[in-house]
Amino acid sequence: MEVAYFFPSCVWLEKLNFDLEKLKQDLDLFAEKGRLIERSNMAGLQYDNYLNADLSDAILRTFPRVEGKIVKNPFVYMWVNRNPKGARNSRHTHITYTRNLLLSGVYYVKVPKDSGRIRFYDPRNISIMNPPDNEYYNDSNTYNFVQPVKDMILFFPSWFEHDVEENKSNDERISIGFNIFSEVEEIKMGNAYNVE
Amino acid sequence: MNSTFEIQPIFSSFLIQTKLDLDTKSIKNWIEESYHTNYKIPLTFDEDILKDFYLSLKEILDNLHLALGFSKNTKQQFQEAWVNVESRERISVPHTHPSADLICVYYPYVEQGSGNLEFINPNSSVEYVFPQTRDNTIIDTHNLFNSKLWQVVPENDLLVVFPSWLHHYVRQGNPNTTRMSIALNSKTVRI
Repeated sequence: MEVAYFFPSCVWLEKLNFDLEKLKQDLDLFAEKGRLIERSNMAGLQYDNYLNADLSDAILRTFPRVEGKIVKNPFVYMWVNRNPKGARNSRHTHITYTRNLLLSGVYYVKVPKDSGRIRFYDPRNISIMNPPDNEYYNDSNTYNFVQPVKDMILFFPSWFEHDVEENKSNDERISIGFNIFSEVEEIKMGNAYNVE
Repeated sequence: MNSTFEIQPIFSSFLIQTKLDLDTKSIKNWIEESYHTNYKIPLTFDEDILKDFYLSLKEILDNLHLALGFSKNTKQQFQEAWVNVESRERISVPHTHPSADLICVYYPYVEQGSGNLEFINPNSSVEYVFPQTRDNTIIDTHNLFNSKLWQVVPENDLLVVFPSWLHHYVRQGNPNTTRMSIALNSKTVRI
């Protein structure tokens, strides 16, 4: 039977093949001078506005494109998350008051075992009442996990609520959150699904 | 020229906070004496020590039921209840109680700093108009119309009642503090 997925909530997963040793060295330098911020971090450290042209370029080369659509002047805004043992990130989105936020994501630099998965919450509000279809077809799941590994990059919509489990390892977990801003050339209102 | 106006809240969620004036010390002692290892303890609605708690709660839910506009041919019925005892690490994942209609939480004993009860606005679109993070916001005054989160500071003897569609969780507090709560699900049934 053909299945039509309407309004899917996508997380794109890819390997970036970035030079992690060089990046770690740069992040250690950044931790000495970077501006600490308080956003989703719970007992962890977040450093704002990380600038790394090589990483920005790699992200812009990799992010998912739609064939035939041009993304005008994309740029990447990055911040660094350093979660020691016991730290986690509370449930949040990446929504900003700048409306030209095309896509969000996270790149994993260091992920010790048991340092915390990322969890995405079902954005369909009605599903939280667990109607029978959700129980039957989805086992009543209201969230899904991704187990990150080093060099993994995730892309997801800015509105997709997510959090990070507590780091239960004795080692630090390091990731780089980012938003990709752009001017999308053309926005079509609605899409038709054609059943063959 | 008249520039005065009234903002009408529409499509509201709700939250009730009230003290029950119960013998919290006896309830705390009963929990401590009865249970030593379990962190979630099911209740059966016939515990003698909780008799006044059940009576008070029933009266409040009956009044709330009418205030919410339910038909008089329906009523609230206790569905399930349990005691949460947490004194160590707390893993608090936002959740709802989908089988219930109303959720009640009562605190017989909480130590200061054990973590606030936090609610998430079910209208996620609000965040697009009023985006906010802890250090980067365009909001001066948080209110009913612009808040993504709403917090309750638990106190001894406090009862909290809210609709089951509200995602809620315990904000991370001091893991060395003790926190005892009684959760109860209520369901609307026909008489």
